[in-house]
Amino acid sequence: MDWRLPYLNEEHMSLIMLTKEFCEREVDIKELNELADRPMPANATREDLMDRMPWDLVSKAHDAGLRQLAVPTEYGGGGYASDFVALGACAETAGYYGGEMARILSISWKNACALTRAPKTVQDEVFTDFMQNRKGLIASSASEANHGSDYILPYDEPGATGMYFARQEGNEWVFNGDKMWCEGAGVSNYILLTVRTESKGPISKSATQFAFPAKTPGWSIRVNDMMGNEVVPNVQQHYENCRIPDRLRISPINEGLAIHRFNLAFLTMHLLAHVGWATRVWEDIKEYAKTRIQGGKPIIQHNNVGTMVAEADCLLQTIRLFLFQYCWECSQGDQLVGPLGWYYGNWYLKKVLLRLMEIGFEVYGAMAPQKELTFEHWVRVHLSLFHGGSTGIMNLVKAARVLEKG
Amino acid sequence: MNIIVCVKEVADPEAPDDAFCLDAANKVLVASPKVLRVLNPFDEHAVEAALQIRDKTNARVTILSLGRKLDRVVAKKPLLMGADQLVLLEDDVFAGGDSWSAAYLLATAINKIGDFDLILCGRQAADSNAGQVGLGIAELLNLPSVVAARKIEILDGNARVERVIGDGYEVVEVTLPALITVSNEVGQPRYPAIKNIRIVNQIQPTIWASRDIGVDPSHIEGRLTLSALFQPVHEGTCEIVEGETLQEASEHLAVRLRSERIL
Repeated sequence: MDWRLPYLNEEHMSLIMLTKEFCEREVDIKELNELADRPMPANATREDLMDRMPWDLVSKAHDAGLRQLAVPTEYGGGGYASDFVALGACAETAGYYGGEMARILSISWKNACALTRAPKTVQDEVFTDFMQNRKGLIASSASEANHGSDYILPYDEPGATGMYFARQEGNEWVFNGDKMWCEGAGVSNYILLTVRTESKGPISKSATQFAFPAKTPGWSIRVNDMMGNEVVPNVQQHYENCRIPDRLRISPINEGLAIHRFNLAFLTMHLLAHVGWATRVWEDIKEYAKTRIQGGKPIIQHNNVGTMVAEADCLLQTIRLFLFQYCWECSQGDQLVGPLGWYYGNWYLKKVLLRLMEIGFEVYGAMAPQKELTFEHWVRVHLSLFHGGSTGIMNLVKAARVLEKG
Repeated sequence: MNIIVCVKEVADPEAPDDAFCLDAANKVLVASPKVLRVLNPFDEHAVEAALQIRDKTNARVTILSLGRKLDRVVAKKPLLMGADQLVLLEDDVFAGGDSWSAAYLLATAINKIGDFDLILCGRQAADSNAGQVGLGIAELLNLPSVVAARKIEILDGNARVERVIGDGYEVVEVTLPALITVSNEVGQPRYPAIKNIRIVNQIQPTIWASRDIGVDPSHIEGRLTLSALFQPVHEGTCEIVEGETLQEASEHLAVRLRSERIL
């Protein structure tokens, strides 16, 4: 990993060094991979999922100051919510040196970033809980059966997207419906929830964002058991007459989508976590190509293999620079930048990772599925990253929608 | 009480092997520019030992590092951990050198700092692994020294040191001022504190060039002559030891191993 990037200052490098040191000292990647592969029964409860989590490791990350890196300093956090370069660099470092550890950290980082734009009352409740209770992440949820995590498709027609509806009763909100594909909701104490609060309007003027406490009666989960699970499980959620006070509302009523869309920018640190992890995988591929002898010479000297190893290096370097540039743009001033960089980054990263996967299979040959390789677990986990709804080529469709509106 | 900790910046010893290449002609190991510079891990233990003493005695901890164009992020790490002051000996003429010249320059700077009770060093550097600089400083400053400490207690002007030996440890006492090299058994170095990162990165260290410590550049050439630097070649050969029966093959193997002085 080459840290000589123009986006990184001394402060960033100190954070990178801390993250590196933490991962090298505390994280056993093999152990985390085994934890992720531990079978999950279809009827697993929140308690079951909580029991799977490496809370000791999370607690150590808290002691080192990393878990709460994006929490404001007034609550005892690192105060880096506005420094996307810092968070992106730490996520990438954690991905490179700690594999799955990166996502364990970055899920709470990106949602803490979003929360710092919430009213003070919401911040007080969620951040105080987060700092006092080390067993918990902060999740966010938007996807439903008829739309992905950004609501932008299928188009902003009245009543066209978002079936899950919350209604206000006095000083409370009542939630009924289902949310899908939520990473971390099963192991978080609060979920940043975006739901429709006006039943007939276009979603851009009908959604509101809340900080939903997971302990609320009526809330339950069902696990999404993937081909390659991450340590932090992905779940579906069912809300049945769940009531929360209005003070946990994050956005003005029916103005939640704009905030939610801008929050997509915070996901960039997730992407850099993947880049860090992929870079480690690529280094292993390169090392294998240098040591594997075939036809009397290392296969990296075979033109077909050598060019593929170089191609993967080039792809990883370019996506990395693109993402750091976007992080840097997001860190300039208080104004959030639009989601275009996120759509491009998300699309391009998937292209890069898919190609890296293909190259790994070519270089390792029959060795590729061997469980002893870092490649095997990485492939399984990342297969769930390539879905098309809110990722893949649909990113460009969504980007085109943004471009169309100027 | 004043403690001085000598630290060294090295190429990350955890970097992959192919990030380094051997320049046999110039007798140097060259790290790729991509390789992170880090604090010598053994020196981090020395910093930790100093901070453990500081936690109990309110000692003042000064960090001293030597080199040319030192990486500020690396140099400031002990400050992030809790040290009080950073002095960098930084000059183009400090490039190269050997254990003797490093010890000489550090001892000269320590004399300039003046007021100290204890000097701590890591037991060796992760790049050269020579383990000579600490003892060299003690010799030049005419101080008693103890190597490979796993625990240090300050008691009435003495240091009570548990010193690592081959099959355990021994306890020695040394009169202060003294120099002690610290082993990794002293415990995991504390993490840099996040809250310090913003503050410390604004701090400018004290920087001394050769003229500031009054040394003549012509007098700091190393005394060690490196004859050759090379990577040993390991060649594996395979020999099949045969026999009509398993017992006979075993006997032949034993004879062969004995003849090669392996048994």
